[in-house]
Parts: sequence; C-alpha cells; structure tokens
Amino acid sequence: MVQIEIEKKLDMAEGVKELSVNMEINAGEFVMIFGKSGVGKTSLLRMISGLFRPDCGIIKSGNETWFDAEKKVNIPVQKRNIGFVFQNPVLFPNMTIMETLRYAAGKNPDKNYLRKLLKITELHNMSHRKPEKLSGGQQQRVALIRALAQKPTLLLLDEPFSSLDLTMRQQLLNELKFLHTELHLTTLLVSHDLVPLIHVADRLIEIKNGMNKEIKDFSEIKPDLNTTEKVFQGKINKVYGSSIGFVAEIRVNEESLKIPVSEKMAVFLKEKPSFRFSLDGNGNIRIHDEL
Amino acid sequence: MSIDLEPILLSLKLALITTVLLLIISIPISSFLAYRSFRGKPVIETIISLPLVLPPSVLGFYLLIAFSPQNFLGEFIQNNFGLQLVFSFPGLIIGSIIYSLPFMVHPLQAGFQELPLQLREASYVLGKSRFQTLFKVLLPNIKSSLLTGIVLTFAHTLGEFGVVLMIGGNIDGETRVASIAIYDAVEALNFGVAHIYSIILIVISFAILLITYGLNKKLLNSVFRHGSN
Repeated sequence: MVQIEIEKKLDMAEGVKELSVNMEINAGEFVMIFGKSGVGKTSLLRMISGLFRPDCGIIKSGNETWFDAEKKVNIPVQKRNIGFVFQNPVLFPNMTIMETLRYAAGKNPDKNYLRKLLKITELHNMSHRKPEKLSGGQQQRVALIRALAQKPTLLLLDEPFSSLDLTMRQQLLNELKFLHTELHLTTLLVSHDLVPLIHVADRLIEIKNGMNKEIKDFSEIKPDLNTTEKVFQGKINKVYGSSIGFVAEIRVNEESLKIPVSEKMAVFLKEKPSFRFSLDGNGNIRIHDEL
Repeated sequence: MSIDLEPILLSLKLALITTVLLLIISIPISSFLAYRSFRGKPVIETIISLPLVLPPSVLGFYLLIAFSPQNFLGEFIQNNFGLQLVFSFPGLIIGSIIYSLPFMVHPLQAGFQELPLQLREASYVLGKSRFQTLFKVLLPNIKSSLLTGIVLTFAHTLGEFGVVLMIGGNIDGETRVASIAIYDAVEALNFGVAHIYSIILIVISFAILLITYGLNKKLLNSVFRHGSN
C-alpha cells in the first residue's frame, strides 16, 4: 500500500497554489487521477517519485518511508523503485529497445520477463531498433516497458498517451490494463481527459481546488462521455481467440486497433467486413450500422 | 637543408595532452554549469570565458608571475611536487589548459543544455546514479559536441603563441613549439624553415578540420536518414 499525505505550494503561471493531497493506493489497484490542466497532477506524481520535494507530510510505500518532512527523510528517486512514464516518451536516443530494457533492468536482468514485455507490446521483432526508427505509438510502448523492466513497486504514468491519436491511445490503454493485471502492478495514472480512461481504472480520484476527492459514482462524470464519443469507420483485419478471450483487429485509416470483444460480437464482426463503430466509456465497442 | 621536426612534434604532444586533460576536467564543469543554477554562476562562466577575449600575453604574464618560484604558488609546487612550471613543458600544459578551457567547456555545456531535461530524470527513475546517467545516457547523446570540443581545443592549442612565449620561452625540445619556432626562424631571416613549419601547420589544421566536418556531416546525415523514415 502506498500512503500519500503531502502539502506543497506550487508556483504556477496563475500564481502560487496550495496542493494538499491525502490518499492511499492499495497494492494491485489501478487508480486514475484526473483534473484540469495546471491543478498540480504532474507535480503530485513527481513528488511521489522523488523528483520533486513536498513542503510537508509523509509518503510511505508498505513499511518503507519514502518521505517524512518532520523526520527529515527523503529517499532519493533512484532508491524508490518506481516506474515512471512521462508525457513524452523521452527515450534514450543512443540505445536500441533491447539496450534500453537491459539498461533499465540493471544487473542480472530477468530475460524471460523482458521477452514477455516485448511480446505483449509486440516490439519483439524490432528490439534492435533505435527510437528514431519507431512510430509515436511504438515509442510510448517502449517508454512503458522501460518503466516496467525493473519490476517497480509502483507504476506512475503522467498523461502517457495524450500525444497519440484516440485510436492508438485506446489500444495502448488496453495493453496497459492487460500488463497491469498480468504483472500484478500497482498503477497510478494521471490525466486531464477522462473519457478514454474510465474503463481501465479501479478507482477515480479528482483533484480540484488543490484537494483530492474520490469519485465513487462514475455517473457523476458520465455526461462528458457522449459529447466526445467519436465514430470511426473500421474494417476487420481479423477476429481471433486469445488467452484473454476474443480479439477483433480493426483497421481504422492507417492504424490497427485491437479490441477485446464478446463471442457474439466476434461472430458478428467476422461476417461484416466494413462498419462504423464507436467505443463507449467502458471501452466496449458499439456498432453503429444496422444489424 | 635539414629540418628539425622537434617543434612540430612538441606542438602535437602539447595539443594532445592538453585536449585529453581538458576533456576530463570539462565534463564535470560543463554538466554542472548546464544543470545547476546558483548565485555566482555568471561569475564562474565569465572566468571560464575570459581567455576568449584577453590577449594571450596578459594571461601569460600573470601565469608567469604565479608560476615563478619566487611566488607562493610556484614555490609550493616546486617544493611539494618538484615541478618547475616556468620555462618547462608541464608549465605549458597548465597554461594551455587555462587558455583553451572555454573551447572545451562551451560546446559541452551547449550540448548538455540541448538535451531534453527529462532525459536525465528518465534515467534517475530507473535507479541510475548521476554518474551512470552521465556516461550511459548524456555523453553518448552529445557526441557531436564532444567532437567539436576536442577539435577546437586541439586546433587552438596547436596555434597557441602568446601564452607559450610568455611562460615557456624558447627552449629547444622543452618549450619551443611550432609557432615559436616559426617566429624564431623569421627573426633570424630564415624564411625557408619558417615556410616549412608554417605549411606543415596549415596542412595539419586543414586535415583536422576537414575530418571533423566530414564526421559531423556523417552524424547529421545518419540522424536525417533515420528521421525521414
């Protein structure tokens, strides 16, 4: 369990703001923090990771105290065993994917684990490539598995996929959710945009007016959903069964999107090669053409 | 006419040693200046840049005084290290290091500053120390700045005259580098020798710069090729 109880005066463009956060994240949880730009979400993640110092309070991970202002404890970022995915991939230009993973994993890397990460993110065939030869989506995947290579106790993601288009974002979120479950991660994701994320999170926390607030009822934020729901024109590449159930690979423009579907939907999609669809707030596919 | 190549070799030796030592000294200095802000930073930066604008004779004059065994620093070094810095090769190295400092520090500092800030943090969150981050992430990504610093320092030291003359004098095999030998030859109206030394220096400098531009272009091209994919 990670316990966060901190205060910080933030020097923002609009003036000084007080941020006061009090929350707990249980092991294995996928918690999403959302709030408007400039409320201090990024600062919060940076304080949890140790890149930024809170003014007062404590941060604990299990029995370890990462930060305690009164006892003057401040474990450096290197010792917190955290996975951090920044808004931009910030990959190391001099390293191939494989070299990046080896660097991240440190001494005695678990090779099977690294191979598994590459396999899940479908980067295993290009592990000798450097970042400049990767697409935006692939780069962010590398950033994700780089953060996971050292088996972090806590995975922090700062608007990780916001620079990608919606289709790619959705797919990466599904992969993230899969990794979260598969690797038993504890994940904290920050975003200003709720819609595409809501189905992956176990809990939602909103930061507003410098405080955090737990959103118990997802319908509180539901009205936003319909307004931003986007309809895509898709073509079925293939529908297949996998360890997580049926998966539909849908081609939208140049991107290929993988979506878990029910058996009934899989049968339907097999017979309908081209259609219009949207993704609802729970990540489920909705077909807009007549059945 | 037989030509004594000693001054040319001495110049190359001085330039090589100065460049290696300056590279080692400048990496921590430039990364510190690139990433830290503190009071008095402009003063440090000014001191490092001073050799760019000062006449070499001014620098040489004060180094001569400082290195002199009659003064504290020169006496201290002579008593403790048995090293005489005035009119000696070790003295030339120290003078050259100070004189060429900005030529190494500036390109490296600019190189560090051009890297995305989060590159360092991305390495820190992976549990890597500052030292590991510097050698595995930062330095490999400023190769072209390193190359620029190395070449500028080497070429600048090769062409050094004023500082060398002031603190080194003109001792055969010890401090008579190529530039001094040329001056010496001209003073003795020995134009033939002056020509030969000068042409050798021109050829060496031209070759070094040509190779550098070629290499840097190759670096640029490789980035460009990958980028256009």
